Amino acid sequence: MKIVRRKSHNEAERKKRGLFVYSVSLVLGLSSLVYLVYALSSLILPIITGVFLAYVFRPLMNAKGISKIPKPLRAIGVLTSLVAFIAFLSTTVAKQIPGDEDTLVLQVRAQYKLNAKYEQIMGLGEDEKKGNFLYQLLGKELNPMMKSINSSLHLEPEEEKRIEYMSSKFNYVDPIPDKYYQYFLANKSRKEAAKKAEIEKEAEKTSLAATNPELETPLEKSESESSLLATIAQTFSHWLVAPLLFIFLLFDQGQILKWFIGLVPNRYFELTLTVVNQVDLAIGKYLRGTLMQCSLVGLSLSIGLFLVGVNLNMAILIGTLAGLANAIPFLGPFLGLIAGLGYALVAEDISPILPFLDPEHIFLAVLVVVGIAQLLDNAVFQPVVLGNAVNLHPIVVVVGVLGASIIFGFAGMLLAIPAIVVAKVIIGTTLKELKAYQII
Amino acid sequence: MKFREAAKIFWDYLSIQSKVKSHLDVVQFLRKLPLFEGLSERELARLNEVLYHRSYQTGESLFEYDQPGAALFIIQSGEISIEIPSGENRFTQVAVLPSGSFLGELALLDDSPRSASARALKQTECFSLFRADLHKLVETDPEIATRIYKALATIVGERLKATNELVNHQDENSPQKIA
Repeated sequence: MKIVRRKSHNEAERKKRGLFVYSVSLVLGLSSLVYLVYALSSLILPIITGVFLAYVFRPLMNAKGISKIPKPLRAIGVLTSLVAFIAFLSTTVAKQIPGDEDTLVLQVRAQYKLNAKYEQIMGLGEDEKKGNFLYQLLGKELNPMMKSINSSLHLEPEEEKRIEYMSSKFNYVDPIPDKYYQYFLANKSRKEAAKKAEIEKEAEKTSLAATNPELETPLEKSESESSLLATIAQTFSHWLVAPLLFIFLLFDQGQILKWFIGLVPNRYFELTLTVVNQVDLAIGKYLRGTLMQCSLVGLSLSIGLFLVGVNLNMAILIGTLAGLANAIPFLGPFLGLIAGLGYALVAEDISPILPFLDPEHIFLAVLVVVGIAQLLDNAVFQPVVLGNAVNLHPIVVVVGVLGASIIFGFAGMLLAIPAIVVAKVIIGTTLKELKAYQII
Repeated sequence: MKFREAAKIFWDYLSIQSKVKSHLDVVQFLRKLPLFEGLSERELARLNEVLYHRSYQTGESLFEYDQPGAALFIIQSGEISIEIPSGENRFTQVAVLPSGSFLGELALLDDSPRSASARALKQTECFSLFRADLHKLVETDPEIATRIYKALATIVGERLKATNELVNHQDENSPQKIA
């Protein structure tokens, strides 16, 4: 046996130089990263989407029973099935997106139905103008809201002419149903009444303004219209990155990770492997769990809505949107509810599959379906699928979602929680392992 | 003839030949190790996909005593010194491992702390097998993983036997022996 002495003078010098090189590289690397993120901010979302999808679908590549199939074939298989699924979903969605004329009719229907429902709930029929108890209680708050919704749904003079034209049997082979034309007329008279009231109010105001000029408020209405085509073209060129990244990452056989691990100094080799593995496990479990949970919520909503009489394509569309939105805590379920109620508002001739349901009560049925889907989500899907994957404090969730929505808009809202979870797991695991390896 | 030469230059240019050669070299090297006994060339090539290649300078540490173990190391070339602490900044060398040996195999079973430190005595090239990668092999390539675990069990068993014999031998020679 022989005694070995360590930490010679040379080694200390080398460490010093190493530290210098690493810190300079770190500063340079970080500053270029910040610049790149700032300069290429429009690419961030497509990149995240591509990486996210590849990451989530990666286990399919290594699924049991298909490991004998060559990897490129497996990657092509996964890609083809994903493209087929997206194509199916987008054609279903595209079918439901109304054209120009349909949008006008939908607008007419929505406005009429909304007012009719409001009057029905508040007891504002022809003979009972004063309204019921609910109206006495909430009328003052709700009336201005209804007024602003109505003013945004009112048709422009050209649009009114178009509806008149479309309803004429002489001009159209397939004119809009008479019922909708009646809705249109009702809306029109409502608009005229509102205009009249406005003029009267204005006159009152001017007489008041003569004595008190501070009351005058300018009418604000600004609509910015940019070149839509250019925006679409630009967005598509950016979004090309997503499928490319998806394919490359799916084809990758661990070379990318090996390359990154190759950059790690020997001292941190085992530590890095451990951290990467634990982060991969936690994030993979969370992201796949969330995707599964959202899909299940979307599916149960679609089935539920279909059962209460929503047509199949629309049920799939609302289910998909609500499932996607379910990734946003708190707000997601509301978006699903709004989409469902919005449909219930304009829907005509509903024939529920469940025999005991009254088509008149579709509003209530949609509410119950959304409620059941949420109950299933909270009582079954989340505990079973997600378990205690990652626990975030509600305050973190609320502030995170709000903050991300301010910075990145809707996409930020959708990605806020996964991003916070990823950061939490990476930081937590790294600190824990740094301590375990006695580095800090 | 000219076409063949051109094709050969093109082939070399793509450096596929050298890649294939180094790949085959690794497979040939792995084949000689008792840990990977019984694995076919295809299986060794698959195993090579999850191995990390690391280079260590003279005096550089592979792992330290008492730190959690995460990977097995296989020495491709060079020499590794196995040391246990014997005071502040003092270590006692208990073994020197030549190329073709492997160390830290218990890390493939769990993350219990290393029982010794390992340090390169000269420029050393190693392959490393990470525990989680071996666990994943159980899912994706159970034949490979089973053979490795079996070999590992045999090796650990033999070492346990040797240690027991050593302890028994010391007990027999001890003057304070009671029974």
